[in-house]
Amino acid sequence: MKKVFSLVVALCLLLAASTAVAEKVEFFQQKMEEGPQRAYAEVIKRFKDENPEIDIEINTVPDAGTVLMQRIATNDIPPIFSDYPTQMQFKKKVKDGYIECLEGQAFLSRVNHGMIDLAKNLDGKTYALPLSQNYMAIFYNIDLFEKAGIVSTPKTWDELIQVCDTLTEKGIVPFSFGDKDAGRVGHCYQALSQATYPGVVDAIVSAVDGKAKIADQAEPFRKIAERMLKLHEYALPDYMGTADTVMWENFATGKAAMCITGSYARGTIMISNPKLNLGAFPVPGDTYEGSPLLTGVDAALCISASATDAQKEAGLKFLEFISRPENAQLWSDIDGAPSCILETTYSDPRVAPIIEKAATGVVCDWYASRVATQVTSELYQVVQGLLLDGDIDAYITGLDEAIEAASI
Amino acid sequence: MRNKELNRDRVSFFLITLPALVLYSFFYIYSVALGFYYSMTNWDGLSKAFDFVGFSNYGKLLTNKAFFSSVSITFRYAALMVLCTIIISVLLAVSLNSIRTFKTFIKSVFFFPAMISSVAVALIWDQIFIRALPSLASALGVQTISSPLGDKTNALYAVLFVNLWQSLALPTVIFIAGIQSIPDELYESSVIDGASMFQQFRYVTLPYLVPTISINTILTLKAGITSFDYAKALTNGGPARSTMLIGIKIYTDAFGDTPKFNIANTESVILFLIIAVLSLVQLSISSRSGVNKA
Repeated sequence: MKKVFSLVVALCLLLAASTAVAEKVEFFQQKMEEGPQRAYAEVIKRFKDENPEIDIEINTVPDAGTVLMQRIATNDIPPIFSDYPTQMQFKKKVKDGYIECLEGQAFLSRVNHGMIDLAKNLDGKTYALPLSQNYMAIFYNIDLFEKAGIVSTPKTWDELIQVCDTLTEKGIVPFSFGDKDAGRVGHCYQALSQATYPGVVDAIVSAVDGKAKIADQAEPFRKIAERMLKLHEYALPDYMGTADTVMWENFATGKAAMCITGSYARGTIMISNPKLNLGAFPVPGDTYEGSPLLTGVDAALCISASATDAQKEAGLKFLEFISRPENAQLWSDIDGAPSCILETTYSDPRVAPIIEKAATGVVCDWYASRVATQVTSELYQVVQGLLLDGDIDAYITGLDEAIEAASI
Repeated sequence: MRNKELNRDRVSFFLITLPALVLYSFFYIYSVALGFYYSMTNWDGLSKAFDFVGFSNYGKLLTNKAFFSSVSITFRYAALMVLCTIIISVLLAVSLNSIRTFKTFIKSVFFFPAMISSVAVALIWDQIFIRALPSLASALGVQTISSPLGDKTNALYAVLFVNLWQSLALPTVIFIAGIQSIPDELYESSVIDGASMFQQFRYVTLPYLVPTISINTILTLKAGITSFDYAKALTNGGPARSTMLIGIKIYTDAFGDTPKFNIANTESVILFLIIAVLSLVQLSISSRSGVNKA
């Protein structure tokens, strides 16, 4: 009897061990676009095949930055999450001890050295694995350009206006904008402002520091405003009521020939219309040589400092896995953004103008790397106001007021 | 003997209310007290250490244009909401109460929006404004119809419209209950006296509805001042801050990329005081009028 009982217990234990539930580890990723969501899902599927004992659960929510901040404030930090290591808010999270240091991890050697340097924190250490680069560009419909007889992409502001005029003459609407969300207005403004006036961030920083008001250095800001308004003269109607998804859809379905957006949208645009002949070129300034390309570290993965040892181990395994060139390549192909991982390729000839520009080294980072996001959010609202009423004087005053309001 | 029974009843009543009292104290009074405490610190919501700074956050807010702009937008929104809610729900209640056939069905049609989540309602209307309205305009050959959410002047009214579309049901039900409590004899007497429909409404229905109007005004005022979900889902405070209700500002300050939890708590305490004062004023005014005080 005793032997039978022991045998049953042993069998039960064996059965329990064989059907052990995989360790569930939450991965909170901040991108709502369809491209990155599918890219992560594919990589996680591969990861599960190799590591059946770890179940990476992807969690994507709207307004992810805010949700993440809220979770950190309530000490409910996801074990693995994506973030933006060049931004000031990330540096604050590191300073407050919420993010695990990745210094010394072998997989970091797979990352493009420039991107690793960019992602380093104030203490010179690395806290996030840079996975992809982003860039702001003018995406364009190659077929519509050819239909209008445009043979080369514009490299300067004047050439861009010529292209817009040519498209309009041929009955093609040049631009699709989605200005309902101030954040999207802001991204467009960041790209255009840095291409028009490379010193724009210095000027904003000096205003934030109280050294000089925007009104005291208004001329370049006026020029940027005029260009924002000029581009909107070539846009599909009702751009202020148009959401970003509709903007991408309008562009993908050929209702407009161009769309100023980030590389984050490329995958989503292609999902909207897989047959779209999509190209991209940098947002131009007065001269090609003097206009920097807005680019930075996009998706970067981190591990919570308060995660359990098992979660940290699982997190490191996942980071190691996703940074392998073949997996990073898969991710990049689906997402549409260039990878930060060495030995990957981004050879789409249609985005060659972007790659060429990046290679010149005339690049700049996002405002958030030097300006608090609270300030940039306020500035975006002012630019939205400019697009609504076209009042450049009110916009100049508004920029100073926004900086003051955000300084509380 | 009688006193003993009375005391036993009192103890029973107290014990019955005790769980609610404990829960209320923990989830409401404790939270409010904690919020007030954080409003007097410099805690940003992330830092592990913070200092007590007294009333300096209040001083900062009282000189901040963005805060006053949000307060002003919120008051405008709440005032319009109270006005529209009271007028439309009274009219709806009177109309629905006078219906003789399909009464339950028609009432449930009007109550249906209240059963849907507010964010779902906002997202449905967002799509109607963004996609259906321009398509309708295009089908009709009208070029000028565009989404009101993209217009600085109309965005607040569009948010208000969506809010009203959903939230009218409850005040209407309360008004219907109020109307049904009015004695029929009064209407019969007024008919004998030759009162018109309007005079019946003015001199019979309305005075009896004053307590109900008062309750609905307070509830709607509070809902208007603390409104968040509709504007957040429809416009996120834009365009150009035109729908930046105080609720959105508090949320953004508390949970933005660079959080300012202390400021958000200070804004919440000020909002709490505003609502408390307005409710007291409203209660004081309404207690002096109505059918029992006239």
